[in-house]
Amino acid sequence: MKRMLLILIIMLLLTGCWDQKIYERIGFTLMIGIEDTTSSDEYLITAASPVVGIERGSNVEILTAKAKSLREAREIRNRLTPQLPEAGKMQQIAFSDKIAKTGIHPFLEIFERVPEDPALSWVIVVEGSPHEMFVKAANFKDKPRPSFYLAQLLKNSADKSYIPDTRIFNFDIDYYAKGIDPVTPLIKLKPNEIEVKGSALFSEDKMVGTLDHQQTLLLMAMKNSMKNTFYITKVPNFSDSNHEDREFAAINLSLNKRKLKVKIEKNKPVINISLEFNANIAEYIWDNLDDISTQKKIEKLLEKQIRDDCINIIKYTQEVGSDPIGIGDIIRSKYISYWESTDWKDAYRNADVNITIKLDIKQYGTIR
Amino acid sequence: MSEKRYQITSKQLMAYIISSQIGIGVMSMPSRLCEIVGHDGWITVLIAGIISTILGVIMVKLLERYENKSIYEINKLLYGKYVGTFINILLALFLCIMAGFYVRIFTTIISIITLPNTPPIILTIFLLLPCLPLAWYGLKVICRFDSIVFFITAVVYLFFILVVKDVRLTFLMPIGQAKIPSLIKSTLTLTLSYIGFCFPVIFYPLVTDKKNVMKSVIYANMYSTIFFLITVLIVTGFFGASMLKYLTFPLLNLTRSYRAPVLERLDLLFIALWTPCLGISMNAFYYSTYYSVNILLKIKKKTLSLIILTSIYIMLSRIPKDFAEILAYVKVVSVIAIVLIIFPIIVNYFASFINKKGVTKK
Repeated sequence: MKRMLLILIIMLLLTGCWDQKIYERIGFTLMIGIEDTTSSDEYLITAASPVVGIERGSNVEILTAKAKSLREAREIRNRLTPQLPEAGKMQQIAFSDKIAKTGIHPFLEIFERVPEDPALSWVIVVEGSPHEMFVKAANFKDKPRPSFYLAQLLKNSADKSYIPDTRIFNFDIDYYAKGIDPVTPLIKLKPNEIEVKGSALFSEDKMVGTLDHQQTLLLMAMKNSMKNTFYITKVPNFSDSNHEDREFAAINLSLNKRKLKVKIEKNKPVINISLEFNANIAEYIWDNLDDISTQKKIEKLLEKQIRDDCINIIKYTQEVGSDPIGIGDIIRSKYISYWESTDWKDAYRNADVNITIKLDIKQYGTIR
Repeated sequence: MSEKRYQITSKQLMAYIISSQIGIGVMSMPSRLCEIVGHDGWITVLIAGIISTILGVIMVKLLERYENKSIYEINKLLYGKYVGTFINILLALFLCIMAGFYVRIFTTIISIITLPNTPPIILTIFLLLPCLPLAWYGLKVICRFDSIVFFITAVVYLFFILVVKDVRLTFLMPIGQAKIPSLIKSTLTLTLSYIGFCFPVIFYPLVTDKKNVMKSVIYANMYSTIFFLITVLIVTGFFGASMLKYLTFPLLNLTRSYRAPVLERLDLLFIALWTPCLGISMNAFYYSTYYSVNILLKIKKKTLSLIILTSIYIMLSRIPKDFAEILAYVKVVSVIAIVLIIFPIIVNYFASFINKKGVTKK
């Protein structure tokens, strides 16, 4: 009995916890949007939190603050809303493309410094204003709450390699690694939905270019992180047996093997990338796909198209000065004296690129 | 103190050594190494592992020469009653400071990662509470409790398997970039992570199967070295040296960067899992001081010494002002550890061939 009493007293004494947070009093900020204002040292920071309660339906509270930093904005929100804003469940941090061009790394610092803030939030670039996107998305009648909608949209697109799966820690790692540049998803607000556009290329932490979703999936293949996806392309009708004049095909691509070799020849980096794909024809014309020679023709054509696309992507990254594949990091690890004696950004611009593609059509479905 | 409840087997001694090395030792190790040797931190871990194992072998050889004696008795035999006692007091004093220091590191880590608003003094008292009954029940119970280190490290290994696909080998290359002076300097920063291998000098008389102590010390050192090595390799390969040097607790950052399905935030689980590991690490120093003080001062009233010592630990733990100051103290304490623990082991071993008083094994 005495022991029980002691336990009871101890339990009562231990309730005085300084760090407790009452669920009902917390507003979980799920999205943060950052964009520029007319003032050069202030940003328009928009936060979206779900409003919990049966009668509230799927309401979203959107709070906007002009502040110099994320923490300052949170403190301003603190003075506007009855619930304490908490960032522990943050899902996405969206930057306007204008801000992304000036550098975004300083904004991510708080998520690495404060252990309760997640380092797993998505880093995304929005073409246009994140604030406008949040406000409009909150009123989409046929879509879930903005952050859930966006979370699902981003996950599905990343599963198809239409966008890179970039979280805060990915961005930071690529930012700090001297021979790799970050790449983030790029989205855009449409009248009644949000569209996944592709990816935003960075040089250090400044956005320098964009790729569409088809280019992004090939970039992901070159980064060895492409998942099973669809490549839509132009394939002429190779057979005369059918008179359809349709010239497009959807190819289900999966990356089988990637080899990336870099060497220095005549004081110039030479990049050799070899990609092996398995392909399933998902949409084409009726007839004749069981013919080996037709298959070979399609394979050759696709190989050439993918190769040309890949070369164009690399040339574009060279032009804009972004190295998302991390060629520089491989150079640093293998040719340290060359790395130390050269400015990588310049060397990358002048690097020679050779790409070989091998594509093997494995299946063509239940019709010939 | 030769009652049965204080006696342990060599395997339990192994658990004690490992728990003292791994818990707190690994928390900031990868980034501290990275600051000095960049991505070659794992080389330092290997060197430190080999050095500490060699020192461990010399230590056990010394203990075997005296059959059933701890360092306190050996010091008296080697240097006479007065000088020996003086050295013993210095050693116990150092252990006490170390314990206070470890209490502070433990509370600071908990304060940074989970309870930032709880007053430090309250946190210290509550985190020390489990040490009291453990110390009261004696070494055997502590060693049994310490065995959880094997379970916790096993879970961490499982986690490493999950993240290994995100490790970039290029982040670990080119191998051997660090210069030899910086490698030596970085080895010194690992002193406190490895110092636990010296605990047999205190507890040797309590081990029942003394012939296996050598094996235990070597295995314990190997276990910790492998754990440190894998941790440093994974963390460096994941974050890259350029980012790693900014991280205070890289292992925590690693768990924060893993997307676990359903669980979502794995870092919260890691904190819950690793806290006992930090606790047993601190407790190793807590108990060794308590035991040493009782032996040296021949204290009968153990409750009194436990309360007094705990109060001293709490006071000592409040000396560093902040985490930056703790890191500055680490360097000083490391040097003192080498002077007061590691160096005497070697000197005593050779001295035992000159002054053979008390030596049983020729």
